[in-house]
Amino acid sequence: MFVAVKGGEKAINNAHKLLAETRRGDTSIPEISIEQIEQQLSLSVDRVMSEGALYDRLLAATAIKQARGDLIEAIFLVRASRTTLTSFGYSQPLNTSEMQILRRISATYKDLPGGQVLGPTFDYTHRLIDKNLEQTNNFPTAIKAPASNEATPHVLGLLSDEGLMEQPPTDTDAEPNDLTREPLSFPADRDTRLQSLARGDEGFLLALAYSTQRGYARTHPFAGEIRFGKVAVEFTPEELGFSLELGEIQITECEMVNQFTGSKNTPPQFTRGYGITFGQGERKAMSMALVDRALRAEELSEDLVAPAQDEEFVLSHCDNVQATGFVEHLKLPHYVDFQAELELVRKMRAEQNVNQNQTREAAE
Amino acid sequence: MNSLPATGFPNPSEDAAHSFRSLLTAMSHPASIQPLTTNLPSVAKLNPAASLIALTLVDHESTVWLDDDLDDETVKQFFKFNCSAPLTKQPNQAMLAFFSHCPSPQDLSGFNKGNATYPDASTTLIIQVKSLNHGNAVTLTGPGIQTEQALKVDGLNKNFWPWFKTNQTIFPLGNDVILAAPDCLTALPRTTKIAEAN
Amino acid sequence: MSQSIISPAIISPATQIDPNYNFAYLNEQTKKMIRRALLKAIAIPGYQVPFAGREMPMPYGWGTGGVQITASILTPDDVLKVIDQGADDTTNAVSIRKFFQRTAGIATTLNTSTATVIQTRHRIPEQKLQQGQILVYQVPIPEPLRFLEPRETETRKMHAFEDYGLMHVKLYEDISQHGHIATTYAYPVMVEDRYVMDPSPIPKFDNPKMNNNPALQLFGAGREKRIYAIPPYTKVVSLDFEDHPFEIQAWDQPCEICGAGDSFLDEVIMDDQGTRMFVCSDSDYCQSRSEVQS
Repeated sequence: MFVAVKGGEKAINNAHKLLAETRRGDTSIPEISIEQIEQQLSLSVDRVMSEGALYDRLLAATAIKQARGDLIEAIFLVRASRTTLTSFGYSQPLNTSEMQILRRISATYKDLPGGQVLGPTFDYTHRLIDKNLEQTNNFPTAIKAPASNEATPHVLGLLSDEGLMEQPPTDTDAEPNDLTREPLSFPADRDTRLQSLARGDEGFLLALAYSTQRGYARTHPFAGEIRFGKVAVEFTPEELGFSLELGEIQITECEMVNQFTGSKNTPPQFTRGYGITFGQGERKAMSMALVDRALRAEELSEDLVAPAQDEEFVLSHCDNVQATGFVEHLKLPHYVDFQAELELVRKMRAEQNVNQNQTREAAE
Repeated sequence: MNSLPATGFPNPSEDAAHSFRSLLTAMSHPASIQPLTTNLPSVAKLNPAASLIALTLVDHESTVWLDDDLDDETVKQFFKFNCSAPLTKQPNQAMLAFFSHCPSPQDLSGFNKGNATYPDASTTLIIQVKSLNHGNAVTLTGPGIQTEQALKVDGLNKNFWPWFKTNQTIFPLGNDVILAAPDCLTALPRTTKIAEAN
Repeated sequence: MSQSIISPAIISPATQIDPNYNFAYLNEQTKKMIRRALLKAIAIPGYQVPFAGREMPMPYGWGTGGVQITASILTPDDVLKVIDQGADDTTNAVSIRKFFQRTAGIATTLNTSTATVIQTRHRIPEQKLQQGQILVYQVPIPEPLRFLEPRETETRKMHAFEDYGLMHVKLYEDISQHGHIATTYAYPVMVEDRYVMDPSPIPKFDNPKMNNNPALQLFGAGREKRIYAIPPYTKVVSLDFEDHPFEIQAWDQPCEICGAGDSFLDEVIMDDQGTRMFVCSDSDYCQSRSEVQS
């Protein structure tokens, strides 16, 4: 009887064993390897690295395997692992204009320096289930163009040269905030907002971005440029005083161009929204750019009318590790609080009955 | 006494855990005397209690201010090497300020007292004193003190307690004080009130 | 701190620490950051100190704030007790206790008076706490004004200006609508006549225990990145009105296991006929009373 609520420790141990067994599935089927996940589920790996805020492909692949393919669970595993790592310092800002391009498109110009490079994309595929994938080793070979040496300047830079683009922020020498070291406080600066969005949930940002297109803070966006490729990461050790290249990472960068009719102090011009992810994450980078631009409403003296413009709302709720923890914590026992509520509801009902009876007696 | 660069805790994790616990006890029982949990040498004019506090609380995210007597190479090296501490000469930017001896109220006026929305932004003052076993006694009350607590301090100047009384009036703003004697320490958070000063 | 006579049977001794982790999991730099926040929290009782909470290996909302505080205050000499809903054997309490056994090799106990540090979710033990003990609360929403005003920018101002009118209006609306204040847990308190504080979702039955308690009470909200504290011997008053004084829950019957008439009771459903049994939510209190009787 009362013992039924006890024995938590044994139950937990057994549940964990069952979980491991379920993760493995049917043992007559070969076990999936970390390398297979890293190579063949690479977009899952990219998302887990982005929202896990840690660039480590094999660690992300391991997390995906351990999480049975649940990406939010995998992101959580990566974040918890990140906590145990020592921070040596901050890298130099990435120079994305020197990206080794794997894909680069602009929706605002038909052709431009560096060209349009479609790269590995789902765009223009017909979404028909490919029955050939039921067999293994069944894929065509792509013809690859030789690596281009042509410079690929940022599209928005071309607009800037004409004076039609807003000027970039002037205080670029200021150290950006790091919200893993300083808790979020409001109002948040754009650097903090961008960091928060970069770690934010793809689905949440996608929905918010979509809402801006449907009139909840319309920003007249054009996909100025989306680029995906490899960039070098450089770090300057304090004791050396010059920067070293640590290696290359793959990133996706999106710059949205938004029409802006101007305000008291600013002539009509184009403004930008910015998005970035680790790996190939176009949907997320585009969503982030749209939400970034929407969050600049106050700065640009626009009317604050929609959820996507509300930085407290967006930044407080975009982290899926926080969100999933708190939503799922409702699974934890709440016997005590529920008991307190039961007692109150019973008491109030009893009082109501007494009152009604008194009223009835008085009426009779 | 120690010509080599002063070192940190012999057992960093464990020693820091014990010394923090005594600071936690000191802050939650104001004016209670806490013995030092690790024997540390003095570092130039930085006494063992103050260096214990530094090793326990200071890191590269906590800006430290040193008074003129502590502002020498040995002490600065100690803070840089063992705590990676950013040092500042701007009192209002300091998270922690270390004093080799009791400062005057004027000396204290420039330190951050926090603000209405973030009263925790104030500077914590670590003041070295000669002794917490004898000297003039004061009687203190406030949160953490069941009835009242007597405190004897040798090494505070006569304007300290009047300053501390003023500090109390701006609550929740104000500075918290840790008194560091050579062999023990005690804390005076901003909530502590002076019942009577002799 | 008074030396209690410790029966070895009620302590699980210290164990080997998992060598993959620093003592109590957190690295020393993270502990320093949390330790600085804790001292500030004690110096400003009831005020929520922001801290750069880290991602822990358990979900947000499952005690990460409490776990980070416990990890930052533990010494190898401590004896830890972990409870959830008042009981040591509820699943999340078991999980957190195991975490500290593994990462801190810490001695643990189920016995309230033996513990030096008690981490809790939703209850304050029935056994009176002693000076020297530390009670660490897990807090989901640290802001008592949050359900009245969702914006942090606004609630922070309200605390700054001691503007608690909204809270009083809400409580009074309850009275006019229901004849009662319809808050039964996480019932707001006023600390040292200055800050309105969320006591975490403990039943209001436990609120009076916070006042003038000899133990140090620490509160950690990991997801919301806030730490706050009540020092020992500090005034904590549950908000109320002269014509509607604060009152705690009471039951018509005592605990059916130990007979206690002074403890918070959980209702256990016994069968599908709706038969109910009322028993202590504090498992240690119930068990030690039962042992004395038998």
